[in-house]
Amino acid sequence: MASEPAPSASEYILHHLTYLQLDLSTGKIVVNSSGFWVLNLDSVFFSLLLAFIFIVLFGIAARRVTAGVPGKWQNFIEMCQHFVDSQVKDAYHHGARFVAPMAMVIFFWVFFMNFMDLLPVDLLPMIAGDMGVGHLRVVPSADPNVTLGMSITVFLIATVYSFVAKGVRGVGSEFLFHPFSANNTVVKLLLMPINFLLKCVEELAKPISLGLRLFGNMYAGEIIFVLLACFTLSAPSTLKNAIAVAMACLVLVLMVYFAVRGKIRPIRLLLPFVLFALVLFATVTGWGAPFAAAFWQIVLASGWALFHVLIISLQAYIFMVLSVVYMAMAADHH
Amino acid sequence: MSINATLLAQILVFGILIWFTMKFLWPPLMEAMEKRAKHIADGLAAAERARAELKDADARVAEEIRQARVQASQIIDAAQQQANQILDKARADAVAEIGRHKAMAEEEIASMAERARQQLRAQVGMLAVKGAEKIVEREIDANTHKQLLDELAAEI
Repeated sequence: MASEPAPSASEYILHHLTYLQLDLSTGKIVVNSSGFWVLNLDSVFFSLLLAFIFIVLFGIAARRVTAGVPGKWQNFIEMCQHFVDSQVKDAYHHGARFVAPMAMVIFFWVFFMNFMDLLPVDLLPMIAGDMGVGHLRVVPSADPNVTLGMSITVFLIATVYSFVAKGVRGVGSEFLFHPFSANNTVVKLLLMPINFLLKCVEELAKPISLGLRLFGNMYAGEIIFVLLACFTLSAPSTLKNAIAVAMACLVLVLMVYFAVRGKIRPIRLLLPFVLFALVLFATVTGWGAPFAAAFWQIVLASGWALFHVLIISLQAYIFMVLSVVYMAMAADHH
Repeated sequence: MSINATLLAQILVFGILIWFTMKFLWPPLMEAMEKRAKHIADGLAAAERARAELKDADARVAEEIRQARVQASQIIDAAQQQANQILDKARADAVAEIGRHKAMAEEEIASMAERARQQLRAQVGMLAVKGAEKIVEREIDANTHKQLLDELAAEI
């Protein structure tokens, strides 16, 4: 990497948004293919890896399960499971046994996939690059194929389940007599196509909104991390720049330390401001540019990461709860 | 953003993962939790029952102690009464015995006094005769004045 010229910001961003794709018809790695029979190897690899991690984490607890005094790990897993179970019991009051396990898979798998966003943006792509892999996107949930794949699965399960729970008559009457109902037979017949159309839109909106919501949030989060990484993009990796980054870290640590734990009052009050003024000076004048760039990147990326922790949990939670609600709607009679 | 076969792969993986979780991961942990919950509930119920039983037993013990106390006091009362009766009877017996002894003694005293009186009377008669013999010096024959002397003795 060091010998290559630094990429421009748009090249860098585009590079981060390109999948590692396998053309299934030719069996070759391709770039930016628009055909359907193409597999995003990176998304599939990481989603499988995270699914495997999920199975291992829960499998350990499930294998060594005891009804007596639980160990620490079993305790933790039971806590997770109980959390999911209580959420499901709040929203879903029917008997199907698959709903709670489905909710647990959704919550933890989506959470793990979202969590990949918190890894440093260049860490895995760089390692992969050194191993000869040109492109790598590490956040599976920032791939619409993945999120829509999950939401469509939820939609399919809900559809089948509604037929099982309500029968063809029940589902048919929902499609034909709701939301507009009438007592007159002629009016009923007239309203049927309108009802059918509205119900179709309502049903199709569910998987699309469910999948795109998660995709949008994760994609935006990823983009922001990539954009923040552009601060230090133009700096070639030299010793001087490494020192600048180390300085930025040192200044940050000093600022936080003196702001929180300084013993002498004037120093405690003033030093963070002095350091901040130094950074501002470096930023405005361009003196020590790599230092200022590193400083701002660390501050902003850390801030965004802290905020993003909330988003990734929230989005996993929303995906789970909405899926459960869809199952409840599929089972409810109107 | 393009939709491709990744979508199908994800649907497949997701479906398998749900099935796997439903089959192997969810039930053992859930069963363990429910079993433990039942265990704890049973334990609490047993403790509650034991507490109630203990309370019952305490009440029974208190009742028995109370009854025993009543019985004991009854026994003590009866014993005291009996003792009093025995004492009274003994006193009455003693008094009767004393009376009997006293009567016997009085009777004896009376008969002895009578006897003494008769001896005294006889001796007084003789003394009187001897006195009179001395006074009248052989003039008077004892046999002749015997009747007189007996009359005198009877008077004394």
